[in-house]
Amino acid sequence: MDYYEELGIQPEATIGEIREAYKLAARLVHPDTQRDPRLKNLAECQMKRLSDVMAVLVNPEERARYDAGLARGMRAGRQGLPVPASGRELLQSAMQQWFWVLLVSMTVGTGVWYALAGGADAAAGASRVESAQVPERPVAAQGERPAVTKRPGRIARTTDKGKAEPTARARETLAEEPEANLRRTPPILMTPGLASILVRKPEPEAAPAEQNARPAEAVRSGGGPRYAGEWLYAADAREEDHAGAYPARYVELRLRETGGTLVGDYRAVHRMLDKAISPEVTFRVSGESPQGTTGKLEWESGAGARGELELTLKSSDELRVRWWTTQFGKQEALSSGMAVLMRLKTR
Amino acid sequence: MRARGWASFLPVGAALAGLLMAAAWSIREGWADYRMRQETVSATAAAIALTPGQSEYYARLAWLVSNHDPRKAKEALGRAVELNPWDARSWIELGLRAEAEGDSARSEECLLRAAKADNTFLPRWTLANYYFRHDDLAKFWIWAKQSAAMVYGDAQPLFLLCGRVEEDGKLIDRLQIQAPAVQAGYLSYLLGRNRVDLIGPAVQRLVAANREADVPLLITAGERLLEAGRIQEAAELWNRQATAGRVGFQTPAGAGEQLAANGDFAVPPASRGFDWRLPAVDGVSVSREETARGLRVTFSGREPEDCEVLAQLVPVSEERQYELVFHYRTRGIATRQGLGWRITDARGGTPLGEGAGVAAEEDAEGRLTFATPAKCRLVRVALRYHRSPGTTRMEGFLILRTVAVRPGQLPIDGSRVRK
Repeated sequence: MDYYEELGIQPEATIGEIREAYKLAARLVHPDTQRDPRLKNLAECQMKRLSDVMAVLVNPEERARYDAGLARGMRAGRQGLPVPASGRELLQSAMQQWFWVLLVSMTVGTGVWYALAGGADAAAGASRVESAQVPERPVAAQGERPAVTKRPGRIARTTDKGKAEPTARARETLAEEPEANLRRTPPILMTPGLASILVRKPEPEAAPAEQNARPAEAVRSGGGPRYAGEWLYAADAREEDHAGAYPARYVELRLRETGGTLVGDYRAVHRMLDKAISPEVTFRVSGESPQGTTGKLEWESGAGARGELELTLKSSDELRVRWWTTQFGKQEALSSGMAVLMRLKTR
Repeated sequence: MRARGWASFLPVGAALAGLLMAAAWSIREGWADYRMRQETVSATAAAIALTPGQSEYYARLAWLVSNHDPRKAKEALGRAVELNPWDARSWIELGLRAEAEGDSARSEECLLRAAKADNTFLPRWTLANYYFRHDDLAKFWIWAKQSAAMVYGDAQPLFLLCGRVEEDGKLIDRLQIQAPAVQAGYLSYLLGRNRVDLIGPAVQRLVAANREADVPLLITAGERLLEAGRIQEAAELWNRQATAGRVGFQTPAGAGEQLAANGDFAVPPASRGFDWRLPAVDGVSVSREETARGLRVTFSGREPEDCEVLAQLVPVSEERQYELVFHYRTRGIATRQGLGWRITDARGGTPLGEGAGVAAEEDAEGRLTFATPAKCRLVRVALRYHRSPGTTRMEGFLILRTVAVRPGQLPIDGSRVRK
């Protein structure tokens, strides 16, 4: 109930009408009309309240401010409640409650940041940035990258099921390939540094296949790509951040070519801290010598496991290897993995 | 008066403005981080657009495009290290890309920058691998040594790579490995590669360090020495651990009047090294006697028809006669029920002596003589049960008080048991 309703007048009432209404109301609530002491006390309070109302409504400035506050209160659906009448009062109120204002602002800001940063991942992000200094945590397979070809088991992992499976991360990456994303990238604000990197026209998706058909000059030696030789581990520092997989720390692949057939031995030692299985992977590979920069060989381990190994010759000195199990052997072992290898120069 | 009133609100206004700016900054950072985590090229590019000063975003972008556009990846990595020269991982990536392109000088420079920026294992290990690939062994050893100082977890990759340069068992000294776990890891590595011939220096280091954690590994090393026929070295290793208090007794190592170790069962059998071995056999239980020293072997009647219940490897001299002397008593076991001692050459399993009929309801002494052939330096003394035809499976117990193997006094006249 607002002041006007208390006096039984309209908001646009004149000063005279207000005074008239006041007199009428005063006759009703005046303490002198009461004999019971309790009613007398109550009437005094009502009279005081009536005087306050009168003081506001007969003062044009005060009345205007009250009317403005009343209008804001109505808009907010809070008719009749006292509303701070000015920005100054708002500031005064904020200053009096500065602690709560600060606390609420910080809480809301932190909450928004946390939600946008992906919840608990935000903390992980922080640790990842620092991880160059603190590498002691579970990491992913060496050489794991988003790739064009859809292959199972893109990260070295173990399984006791009868079939090799891609990890969750691998599945996510398979679902959205980087090149495809590059093509459907919406317009974005380019910084100078970013523009120099991204403004180039994206390569067609079939780029690897094209390379396959036309081996790069760097890869050529004589008539075709040179796979034969000894290839050794090269660190893939980015893979150190991936949890739940096992990065290789040592890899050697010896390949030799005889009569169009590529045969060789693969040996790797993975960093494995949470599984009681051998970190060592050894198998023998063989297959038709690839003509392009990618090829596939078959492998068999001493424990009877079998699988496939994919070779991608990135340059004459860089070979990417991805392997996966198609038939498990007698021992529990890593079921897939990949590695970036560099050619051994002379030995 | 009014101006003074407004001035009093300035600190609050400034604080609120600061909070608003901080909130906006937080939201921007959070959104950029969220976009980067989507791990797509477009999202990462958007994250970079929001916060162009984040080297990590460029590194992530390089990671995403590396398979398809190495040049873009290289540029992104260059930008990453430009923004954060301490980003060792990007330096490593740049170094390896330069190596793949045949730019050895740039590659080496980048990898050295990585090692300078990050004092952990990975940059050092990468450099060690780099110099190995380029056949620069002098520098290889420098960085291998630094890797060894930083290595964590399994150091087998380091040992494998060093072993390709020189495998002589002296890596602990050459790399100045100080970490106990890595020293032990080297011995494990050598044993895993069946290089028992090279374990000497590593064993010496571990024995000198006298760490309790190394005892099982050293006992394993001793067993592998025994398997390799290097009995004196195995015995010496065992005895050095006994001297250090890591195992309960010395082994006579083929010298003296009593060649069997722990012959009075004063120490609970450990089933390893020169101690008594107690194979797990269904239906047979073994326990130490509490009141008087000895070992109680109980047969439940459900044991296999042929089983070994107790054995020990005993160093001996070749071409000599010996006598197995044992004190015992039994309950519920008949003379010809099939329980007896069997002595074989540990290498090849040639039987040297066998006697059945270990059975005596009162305390008794048993003897069995045997002779070692040429080149026999280790015998296996075993108590075994083989059910005799016409008998039921044993149900009773045997208490062994002492077992001794002594140089024989009698001329070689075949094996026999005397009670």
